[in-house]
Amino acid sequence: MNLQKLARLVAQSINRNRRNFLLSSLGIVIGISTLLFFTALGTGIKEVVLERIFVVRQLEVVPKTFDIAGLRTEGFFGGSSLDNKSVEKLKRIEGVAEVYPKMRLTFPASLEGGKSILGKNMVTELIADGIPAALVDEGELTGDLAFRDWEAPIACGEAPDCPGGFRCNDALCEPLPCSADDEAVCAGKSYCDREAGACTMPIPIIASPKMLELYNGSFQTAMSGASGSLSKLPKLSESALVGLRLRGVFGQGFVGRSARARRSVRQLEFVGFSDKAIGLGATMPIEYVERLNHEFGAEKTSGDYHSIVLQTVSNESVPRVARDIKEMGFTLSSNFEDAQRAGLLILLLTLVFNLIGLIILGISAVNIMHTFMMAVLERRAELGLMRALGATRADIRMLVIGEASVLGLFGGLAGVGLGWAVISGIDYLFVTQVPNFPFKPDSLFVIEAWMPLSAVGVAILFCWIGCLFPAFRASQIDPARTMSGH
Amino acid sequence: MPRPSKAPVHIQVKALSKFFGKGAGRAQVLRDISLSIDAGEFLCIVGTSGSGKTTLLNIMGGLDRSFDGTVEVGEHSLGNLSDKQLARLRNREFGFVFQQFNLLDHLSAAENITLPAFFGHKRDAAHSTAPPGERTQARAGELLQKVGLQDKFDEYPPQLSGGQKQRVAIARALFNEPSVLFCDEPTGSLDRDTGLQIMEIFRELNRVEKRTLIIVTHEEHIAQMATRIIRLADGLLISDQPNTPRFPQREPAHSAQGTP
Repeated sequence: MNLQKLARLVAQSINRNRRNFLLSSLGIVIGISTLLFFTALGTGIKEVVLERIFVVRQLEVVPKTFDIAGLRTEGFFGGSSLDNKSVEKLKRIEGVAEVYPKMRLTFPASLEGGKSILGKNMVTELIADGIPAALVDEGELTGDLAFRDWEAPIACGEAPDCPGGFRCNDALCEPLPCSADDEAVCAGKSYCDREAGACTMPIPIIASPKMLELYNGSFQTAMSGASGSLSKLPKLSESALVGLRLRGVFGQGFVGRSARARRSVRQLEFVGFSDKAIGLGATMPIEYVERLNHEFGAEKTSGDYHSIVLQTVSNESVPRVARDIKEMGFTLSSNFEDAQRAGLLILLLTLVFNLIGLIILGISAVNIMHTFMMAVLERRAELGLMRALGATRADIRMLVIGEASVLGLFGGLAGVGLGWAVISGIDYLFVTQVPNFPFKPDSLFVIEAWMPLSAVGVAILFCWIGCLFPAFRASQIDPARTMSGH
Repeated sequence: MPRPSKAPVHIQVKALSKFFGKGAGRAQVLRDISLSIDAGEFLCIVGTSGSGKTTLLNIMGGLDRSFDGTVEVGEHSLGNLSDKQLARLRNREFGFVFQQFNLLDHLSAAENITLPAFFGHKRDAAHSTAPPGERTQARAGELLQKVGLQDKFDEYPPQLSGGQKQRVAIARALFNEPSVLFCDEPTGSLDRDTGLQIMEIFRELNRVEKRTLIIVTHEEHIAQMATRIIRLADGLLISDQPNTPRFPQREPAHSAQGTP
């Protein structure tokens, strides 16, 4: 019997037993919708946790530390620092796509500004680090000012192509001199650095999206009950912050000042958000940090990196890269273990909930087996007649399996539809009714293409499991006995 | 629609025995039966209830594979055929008509008639006398016309009388132009007059189309229409004799009322 004929027979049979098929498919619909719901929920939560809270594809190598009497120290008691040699070694690990060292400011500094968006200038201790500018994708940032070291020599041709406040001299852009009286010569993004007496480009800085989450989700909410203007702090968006100019005071913070040099004031411009930025603070091109540390920081540690971030080629390569890092004597930040624990917890929860879906499907399979057994008994004469008219045992088996497949297909599709509807409803309620909190995702669920396809596949599989025995029984029907009315 | 005739099929039964049950409850229903049926014969198997006549018919028709002895249909020995080969033989060479009609109530008359087309084998399609795919509807119409039910194409079995149902069953049996028609008490559920009408159809199929007819019956007047009568008693073949067919007249009042 070819597929077309089989399809017609199956259609006739289902059309005749619509009610039975509908009832049998209910369990499949509920099981599949449960399966889809929890798989999408698990994937959605995993995405938030492992791609926004803990970026699992990024492994952070930190200097080896040693705890003595509750105090953590590095370097002296068996610890180690991270330098360019470490970067080169880590680059050679298989499965590593990118390596970018991070260097923190090692001296006190503060930051002032924000009046244009907050209503008043805020002053805060500046925690900052530096990363290679090349590691930030240009597409990630939306600011007009490029994230680069503007103090590095800028080549220029005959036609002046230097930024505003600079002129081309001997194929290099050089800053125009300026003073308090003629600051206007510093055009474009540049400003007049009175200490240097020349036009200067602001230091481009970026921040982690987590900071915006923390501000909007916690700080701004907490401040709503504060006295004065603090109670009116607005919620901030990325676009509102990009282009914000701040005043940085290097060598002088709230709690102290640099031992090596007097303070220096520089302008910083916020150019965008990136996951590669420090979790709490500002990130600038690493060359600025190197120069500033050299000028203001402790002499012996001014060239050390405080961490090296490794981007792996895939999530699957993370465990192997982590093992190699440890074997090379480096230490991974606790974030990695936290991410592993969180990932495992989510996986376990997803599996437990999916197990519920599978149990429902298992019960459905038993129900389908019962329904099909009853149907086979009721249809003994019909199946016997088919045998008499030339159907082989295989034809009869295929007929029953075909009916189960259609049941699985439509039950699966209906289950996917129901699951999708429930997901959409809960997502809508989540987005509109649940107050903002840090890292609140746009959606609780992630439905990937494989999920509905697999769900329908699982539905058909369970229907097959349920119909196998009835199909076998049907194929064993003796046409001689049924046609004789026995 | 003219159809090419198939090669005549000769049936040879040798030392056929059949048992039902196991152990102490084992019962023999056919005892060492041997017979030969030529192509184009009109044969009736007669016997009382439990004599083994239906069992013999089922075995010769390939519906029952469990027997001792040999049954040869044309070049095939039924005992040696696989399930697939036997199914193909039933589909291509045999037609079945049963006492209870065995029509599927959820299918129309035409759909019931075309049911054998679902189980046609690919190899047969190339040189099939049965029409493939879309031509099956035309074939159903042709067969309904042959049995006098051309106006019942879309009617469902519950809308038909007993005689009409049996005519649809005969049309279904003829769908693949079988060489042999196996009929198990085809008039058993019909009144005498309707039964005679059905028998007239069978006679025409045998006389004009030269199909072999093997009819199981317990009604003597039905058996008397055949050219050969075999009598069974308690599983034994007690008589195998040629017969001069006698067709009783139908009652005029009934025949005037149209198709039952």
